[in-house]
Amino acid sequence: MAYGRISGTGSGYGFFAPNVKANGLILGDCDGTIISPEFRSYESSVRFNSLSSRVTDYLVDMGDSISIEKQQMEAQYYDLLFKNIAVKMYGQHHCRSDTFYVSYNILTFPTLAQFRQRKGVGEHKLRPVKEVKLTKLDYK
Amino acid sequence: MQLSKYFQSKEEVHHLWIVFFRCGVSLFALLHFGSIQADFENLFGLNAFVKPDISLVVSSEYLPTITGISHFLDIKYANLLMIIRYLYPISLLFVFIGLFSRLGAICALFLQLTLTNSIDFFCYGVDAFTTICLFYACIFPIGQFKSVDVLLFRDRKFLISTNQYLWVFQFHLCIIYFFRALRNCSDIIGAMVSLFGKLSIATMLLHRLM
Repeated sequence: MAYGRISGTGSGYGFFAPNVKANGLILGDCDGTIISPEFRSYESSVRFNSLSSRVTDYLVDMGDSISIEKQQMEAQYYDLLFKNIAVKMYGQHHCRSDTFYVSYNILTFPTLAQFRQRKGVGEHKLRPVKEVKLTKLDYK
Repeated sequence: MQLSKYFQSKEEVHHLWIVFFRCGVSLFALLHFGSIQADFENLFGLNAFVKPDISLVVSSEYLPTITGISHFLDIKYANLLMIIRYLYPISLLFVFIGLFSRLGAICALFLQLTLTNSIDFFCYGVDAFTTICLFYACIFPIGQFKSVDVLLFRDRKFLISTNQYLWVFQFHLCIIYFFRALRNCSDIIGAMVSLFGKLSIATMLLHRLM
């Protein structure tokens, strides 16, 4: 196990297997304005996208955990992760709103049946599948 | 027949491949590391998108993390991060020019593992390949040809054959490509289901959540 990690051989070789994953977008909502995490280099954006990919994995495999306790812990952990991202984005965009939302969205495309009927061709919609709310508290 | 001929051949492979391997790996790792410098604090810093404490939960217990080392050495996280930020490219430069190559490669591998283990959420396939290459850089005699080591340590005994090392590397690459294809084949039923227009991962996700 340790050898696999140190040598890099334990990482698995199923790149893009079984298919290229449908990736999601992490977006924030600041007073009605849609914002996304800002990076100064493309490489960093790619790295952030791999975080989105991990979230997709989590949402797909959600409920596969053996115990309910583990499922709850995973849910709490990903909530914490999203809140952390939300705080960072809130500060990065100098958002002045008291409430800030961060959501994980996936792209939905028309089904084959709709495509055959030429309904919604070329259209795609963002559908939020996970959302966290950040509220500013005034302790005065 | 072709394979046995190849492996039984007494003919020496030109050692230039190992020079190319050493320079290629170090240069690639340098450029790759350089490309995230503008957002270094957003990925590794204390106020990163995923804070180090949160990343720690998913990191491997077998490998070091920046947080773990900072606790162990009792150094501030930010200071240690700064040290690693400079030490990693320096060790890669040592590998590139072939000065204390093995030591440089071991140091680079250790830092590479520490960095990738500290930001597990932001890692992808390239990092695994970099780790594999740096691991081989530690094992292979990378400093024995066209390097500063050769100029400095003239009295040292040098290898003549590098065939076995090349075979090991080629064998590993064969495994990578074989299992990469096998993994795709293994989900042939899933692929067929997709072909018949039933599900993509996105729709599957929606079904789960609805």
